[in-house]
Amino acid sequence: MRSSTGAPEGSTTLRGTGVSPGIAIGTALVLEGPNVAIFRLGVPDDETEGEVLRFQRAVRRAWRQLRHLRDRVRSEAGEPYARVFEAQILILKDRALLQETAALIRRERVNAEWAFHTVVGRYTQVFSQLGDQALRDRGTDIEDVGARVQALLTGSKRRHDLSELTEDVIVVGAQLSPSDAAGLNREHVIGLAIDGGGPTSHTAIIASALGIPAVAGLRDASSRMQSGDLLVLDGTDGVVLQNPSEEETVVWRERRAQRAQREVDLMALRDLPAVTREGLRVRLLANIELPEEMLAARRFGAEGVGLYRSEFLYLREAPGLPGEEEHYRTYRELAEKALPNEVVIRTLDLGGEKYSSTILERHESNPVLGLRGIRLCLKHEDLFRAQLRGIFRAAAHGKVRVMFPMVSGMGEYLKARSIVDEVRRDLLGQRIPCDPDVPVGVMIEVPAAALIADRLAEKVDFFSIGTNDLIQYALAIDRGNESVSYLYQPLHPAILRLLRGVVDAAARRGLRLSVCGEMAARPAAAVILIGLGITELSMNPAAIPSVKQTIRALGLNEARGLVEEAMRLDSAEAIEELVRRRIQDLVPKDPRPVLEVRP
Amino acid sequence: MIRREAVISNALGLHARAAARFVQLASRFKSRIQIANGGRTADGKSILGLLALIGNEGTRLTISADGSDEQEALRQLVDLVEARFGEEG
Repeated sequence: MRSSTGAPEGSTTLRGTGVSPGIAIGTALVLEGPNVAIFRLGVPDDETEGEVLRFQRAVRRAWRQLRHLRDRVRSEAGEPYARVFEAQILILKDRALLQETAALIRRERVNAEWAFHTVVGRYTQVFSQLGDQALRDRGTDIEDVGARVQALLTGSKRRHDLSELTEDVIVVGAQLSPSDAAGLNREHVIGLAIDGGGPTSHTAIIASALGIPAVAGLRDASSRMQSGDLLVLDGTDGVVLQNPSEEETVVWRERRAQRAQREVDLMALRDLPAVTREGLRVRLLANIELPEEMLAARRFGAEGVGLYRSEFLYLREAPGLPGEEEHYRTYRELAEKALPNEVVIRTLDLGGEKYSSTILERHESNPVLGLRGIRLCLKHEDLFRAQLRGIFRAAAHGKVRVMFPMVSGMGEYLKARSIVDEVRRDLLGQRIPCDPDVPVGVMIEVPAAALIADRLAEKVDFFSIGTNDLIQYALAIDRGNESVSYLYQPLHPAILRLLRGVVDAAARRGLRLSVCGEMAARPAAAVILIGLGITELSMNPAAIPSVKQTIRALGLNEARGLVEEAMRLDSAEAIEELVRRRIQDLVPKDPRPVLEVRP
Repeated sequence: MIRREAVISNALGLHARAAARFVQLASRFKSRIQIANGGRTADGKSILGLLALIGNEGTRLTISADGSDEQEALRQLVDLVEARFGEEG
């Protein structure tokens, strides 16, 4: 029961992480966890065969449900997702499971629920005792199948009825199993509130692909809510209001209507080009880290991937480092999904705040300035070569470019480039299919690289400015440090000067240049970038529509004039004030939902 | 009965989808299929048995086949393991 906190009628606000934007207002449907109480009941001698039959019928029905789910998932999400259910079907058909359950019903004269629960438990306990999360996860398919059969045995209307909903609900649960996620009825599931998970969880990916507002990381929310509670869920800010007051509900309904209208307006822009009033074409690209995110990128109108972060391959829980084949398969999937557009793959950028125990064993006192990015790759050449081989092979299946992170000087670039050339020669010599003409670029994110951009420009195929790190290093500001984060100022005069230098260096050599930091995702900053002469912006996919809207309203001369004026000012505050004043008519009203960029 | 060793080389080891592939293939043969990892063995046609065997990347498995089509069964199963269970992504 709720309200044990002694706050009777008041609403409760729960905070998590917004993983799929949008506002949902509706009643909660709390999923029961897999550990539903199951009782041991004796069965009279002459009824045990009937009990076995009841069990077999439930298994057959579960089997039909799973086949149906598999087919549906295959047609909607593709074969790899469908395979999850292929495995579950086999688990359900496993002789050991069926025979042991039937034997237990007969031998101990117990109800089917208890017998099945006991047998499933024998298999799942093996996994639940393992320390490694990836190994423990292997047990979740068995649990998922077990829960499905139990639901059919007890006849309870539970988790697996998500496809048969008749009213709008916000689904609340400890976690979302693959069955739950695949079975979501998009018409009636209007929001998701999940205890666990983060922006890269299964829930987040599915929810944003389906366009369902979702909040994850709510800790114990599912045990504090009951089905029927009225909820307001804001998937942008990561907030859930439980049983809001009448007034609050009215306010949120209005907000939802405004945002919905805005979403419609913005999504209508999806297939329109990002062109300024004079017809200058700007390319808007997506920053992503999983091939699955191509779905969302496309939905928001991305014209390709401007930054593919390859770190997740190294940061996953599974033991061992990714080999060439895994790189190849991942990038090939990505390149194929992106066609006819291009993908820019950033080579490993571990280090700094991104830590992996497998590679970085030594503790660094100042990791942001330590062994990271290209430095790490050059130190662990075998890792680097495996990744490059994967990239060059995948490039035969799509349009791929590759870039190195954290380059701070010419020597590093030349060393990396020589390894690239060797890898290319090896692949050609071994007659392994690949694209030998993959353009090779560097990320400009260390101020030193920005300052020698004119020299680097003579040797590279393209530049991509990583503004997040560039700003952090140039201003000596740790964004994560609350006492100084207010000084993280993208429009600082020093940053504008650095950017201008890079733009000029690229322009003199006719090099392609893009910006792939969060700065590109803020319409106000994007105007400055375009005014500086940058025509490729890569960002979180959800930010694309509002940036596009701004660009379509933008006069190029205004933007250039704005930059000239800004360059004469001497503080970030003054520049921000100028930009705010000058372009308020260009930037969408209430731009928050798309301005927010996931960390 | 014949047996051969194979090393699991896909990234996630013997997870449910990989095990599913193995069981599907094993079930096409008449021979009795067994998998051993260290001291433990499992029925090669039972996905639960396989999952409980816990194979990580790099784990050495001994696959044995016993029956009229044992040669073909063993060849195809070892191929599957060595082809990383046909995983694409």
